[in-house]
Amino acid sequence: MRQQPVLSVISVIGTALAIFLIMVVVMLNQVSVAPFAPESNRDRFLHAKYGSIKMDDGGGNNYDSNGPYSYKSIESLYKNLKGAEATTAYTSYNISGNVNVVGEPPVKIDYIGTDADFWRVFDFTFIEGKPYDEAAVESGLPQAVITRGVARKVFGGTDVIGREIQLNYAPFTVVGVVEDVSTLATSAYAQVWIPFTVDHSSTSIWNGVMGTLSATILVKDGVSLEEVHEECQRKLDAYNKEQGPNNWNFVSRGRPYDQEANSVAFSSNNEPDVKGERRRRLIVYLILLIVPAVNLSSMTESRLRRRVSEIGVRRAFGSTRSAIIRQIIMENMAVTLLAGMVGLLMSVAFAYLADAMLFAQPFSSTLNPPKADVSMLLQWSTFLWALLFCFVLNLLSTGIPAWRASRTSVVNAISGRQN
Amino acid sequence: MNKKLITQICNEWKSNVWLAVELLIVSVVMWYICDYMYVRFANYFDNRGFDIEHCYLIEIDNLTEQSPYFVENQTYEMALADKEELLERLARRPEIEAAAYSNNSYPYNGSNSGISMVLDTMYTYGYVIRRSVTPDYMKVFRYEGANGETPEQLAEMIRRGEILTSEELLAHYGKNMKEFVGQEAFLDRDTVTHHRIGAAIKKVRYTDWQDWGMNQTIVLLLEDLNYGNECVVRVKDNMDKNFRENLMAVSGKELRVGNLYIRDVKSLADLRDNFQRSSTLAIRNYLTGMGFLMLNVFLGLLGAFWFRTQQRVKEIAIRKVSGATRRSVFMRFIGEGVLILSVVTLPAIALDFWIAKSGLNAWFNNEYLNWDRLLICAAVSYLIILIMIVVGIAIPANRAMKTEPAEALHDE
Repeated sequence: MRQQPVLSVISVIGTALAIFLIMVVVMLNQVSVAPFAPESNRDRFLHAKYGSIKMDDGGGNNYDSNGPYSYKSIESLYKNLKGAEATTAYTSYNISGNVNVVGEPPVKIDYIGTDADFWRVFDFTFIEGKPYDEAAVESGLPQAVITRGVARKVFGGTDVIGREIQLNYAPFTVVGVVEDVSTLATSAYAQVWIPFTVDHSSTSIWNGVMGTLSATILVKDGVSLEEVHEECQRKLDAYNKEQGPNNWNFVSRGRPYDQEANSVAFSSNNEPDVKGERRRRLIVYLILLIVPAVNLSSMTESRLRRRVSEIGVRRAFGSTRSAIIRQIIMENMAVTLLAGMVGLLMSVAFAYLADAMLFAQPFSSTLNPPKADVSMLLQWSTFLWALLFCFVLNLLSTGIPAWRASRTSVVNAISGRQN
Repeated sequence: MNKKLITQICNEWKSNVWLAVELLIVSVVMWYICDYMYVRFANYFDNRGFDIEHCYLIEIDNLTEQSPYFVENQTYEMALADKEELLERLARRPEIEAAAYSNNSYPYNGSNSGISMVLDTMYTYGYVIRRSVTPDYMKVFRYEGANGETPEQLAEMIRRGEILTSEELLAHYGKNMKEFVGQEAFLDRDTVTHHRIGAAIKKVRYTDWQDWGMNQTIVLLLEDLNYGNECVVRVKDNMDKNFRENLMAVSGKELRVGNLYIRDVKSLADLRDNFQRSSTLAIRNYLTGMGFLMLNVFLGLLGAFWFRTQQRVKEIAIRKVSGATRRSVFMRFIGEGVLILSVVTLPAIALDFWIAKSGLNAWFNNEYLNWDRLLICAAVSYLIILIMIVVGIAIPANRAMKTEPAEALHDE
C-alpha cells in the first residue's frame, strides 16, 4: 500500500464511501424493522393498523370502507388468541393536545388512548410509578402515564406520581413516568398515554364495526407468526358470520401484518408490496456496490501491474494460482475491512447527528422530529450487513484482476510483460 | 490526431473497458434520476391554485365529561351556536384576516370526500374532491377564478349557495367549465336539487410534486356547521409572528365556548411538509444517489488516469519537447475520457429508451416515453458526467505535465 499512496488513498476513500452510503440505506430500513425499546419484540409483532370492510346490500350495490377498528372488532378479531401472549388496542394515530397544571401555560404534546395490555406488548422503561391497570381502563379512570420530557416541562421534575395534570382541560392523575420514546417506535410512540375509555376520540364508532383503534399482537415465544395468522383468519370468518351476510363484513387483505409488511403498509385499502419493496432495495444495493466495485477493480488492476514480477517470482517458486488469488484477495480484504470500518463509523455518526432529517417518516401523525440513538443504529445485524457488503465489494473489485494476474505466465511476469 | 487518439484508446483497451462499463451504468442511472427530477420539478413549478402562506389549521375538540367546564345536556342547536360563536371570535381577532370551517377540504389533507356532477348529458369522470366550506374559506386559501374572479367574489358566490367547479371538470368532452358558468347542474345521484355554477376555478393541486389525477374539485357551501371538522384561518401578513404561541396562551380564557376548545394550532406549511414527506424523501434519496455516482466517476477517473499519466510522463515529455503546448497535451487526455463517454452514450440512450418504453421511469403528462424529455435528460446527465471527467482527469494530467522534460527523459 505504502508504495502507491495516492491509489491506496483513493481506494480507501472509494470503499469507505460505498460502505457509508450502503449502511445509511441499511439503517433507514433498520429503524423500521429492527428491535429497540419499547418495541423490543418487533420480531414477534403482528399489526392490524387498519381494517377493511365491504358490504353487499342485497340490491346489487357494493360498498367498501377502510380505516381503524372499533374496540369490539379488535376484541373479536385479535384478542384472546391461543398463540399470543397479549394483544393491545390503542388509538391509531397520535392526537395533539395540551397538558398543564392549573394556572400554568399549556404544553403541546402527542397522546394516545390505550388498553391495559399495551404495557405488556410494549416494554417501556418506568422511571417512576407503574402503568394503569385493567380495572382503570374498564371503569374509565382519568389516569395518565407521561414521559420524562413532559414531566420536566410541566412539573420541573420526575417525582410526580399522584399529582394532577390537565389534559385538554380535564384533570388526570399521573400514575407513571417513562423514558422518552422515539417517534421511530411508530406503534408505541406518544408523550402521554391514557386509558382509551376516557378519551372520546378513541371510543367513537362508525359503520358499527369501525372506530379509531389499531391492534398489535405479541406472539408467544416459539409460536410461528403463520400459526397466529391462521388463527386470526378463523376469527375473522366467525366474526363475519356473526355480522350476517348483508352487513359490513371484514376483508383481511393479508392482515395482521408482520413488522416489515406493516412498515411499508401506507394505505389501508391496498396490501403492502413487501416483495416490490425488497426488490427496490436490492437494486439500490446493487448499484451502490457495482459502480464502486468497477471503479476499485480498475485501480486494483493498476496496482497489480506493478507487482506482476513479484507474482512471477512466486509462481516460479511453485506457488499455485489459487494461492495467489487467495493471497491477493486477502490482502485486499484487509484494506476493504479497514475502509469498511471507517464507512460504518461515518454512517453511524451521520445517522446519529442528522437523525431528524434522515429518518423523517412519511405519513406521520406527529410533527415532532424522530430521534435515533446508538442502540437503535448499532445492532448485531448492522455489523453483519457491513461485513457482508465489504466481502462482496472486495470479491467484486479484486476477483477479476486477481484471477487475471494469476494467469500471467512466469516468464512474461518476470520480464514485466502482461499476458 | 483523432486517429492517434483512437489508437491510444485501443492500446489501453483493457482498463478502458472498465471505464466504459462504469460510464455506461452511471449514464443510465443518471438519466433515470434526471428524468425523475424533471418530472417532479415540472409539477412543482406548475400553478397550485391556492396560497397557504400565513395559513393555520385550528384543531377544535369537545371537552370530555371529566372536565369541570363540561356543559351537560347540550342540544344540537346549542352546539351549533357555540360553533358559530367560536368562528366569530376567531375572525374578530386583530391578527386574523379570515376564518372558515370546512369538511375534508384544506390543502395537503389526505382525507377526501368524493362527489360527481351531471350537466345536461355530461358526467364528471374520475375522482372529484368535494370541498364543503363556509364562504371565507375562499379568502383563507385565496382560490383563483378561471376568469380572474377574486377570492372575495368567489366567497360571495359560496354564500349565495352556488357551486364552484374546476376548469377541467369536463375536459374529457373537450369542454372548459368557463362555458357553463350560470348554468344549473345536479350533484351526486340527486336529480331534484339544482345547483347554479357560480364560477370555474383554476386547478386546485392535490400535492406539489406529483400529479395524482386528484386535482378536480367542486366547492360548495357547508350547510351544517356541525359537519365542519376543520377550522382554518389566514393571518395578516405582518402579524404572523408567534401566532401559534399567542393564540394558545389565550385559548383557555377567550376561545373556549360551551364544550368547544382549541386543542392545537398547526401551520399549513408544517402539514404540507408532513403530507409530502414520501416525495421529498424520495427526491432527497435520488439526489444523494446522484452525488454518490458523481463522486465515484470522479474518483474512478482520478485513479485510472493517475496511473496512466504517470506511465506516460515520458510520452508527455517527448510531446512537449517536440513543441506540443500544455493545452494540446491536456486536451489529448481529456479527449480520451470524452470520447469513451460519447461512445457509451449511444447504448445508454438505447437502454434509457427501453426503460421508458417499459414504463419503469417517472410518469408525466400521461406518458412514460417522450423523446424530448428523454433527450433533454440524457443531455443533462451527459453534461454532469462530462464535468466529473474533466475534473477527474485534469488533476493527474496537470501533475504529470509539471514534470520537466529533461527530468522525465534523463533515463533515456
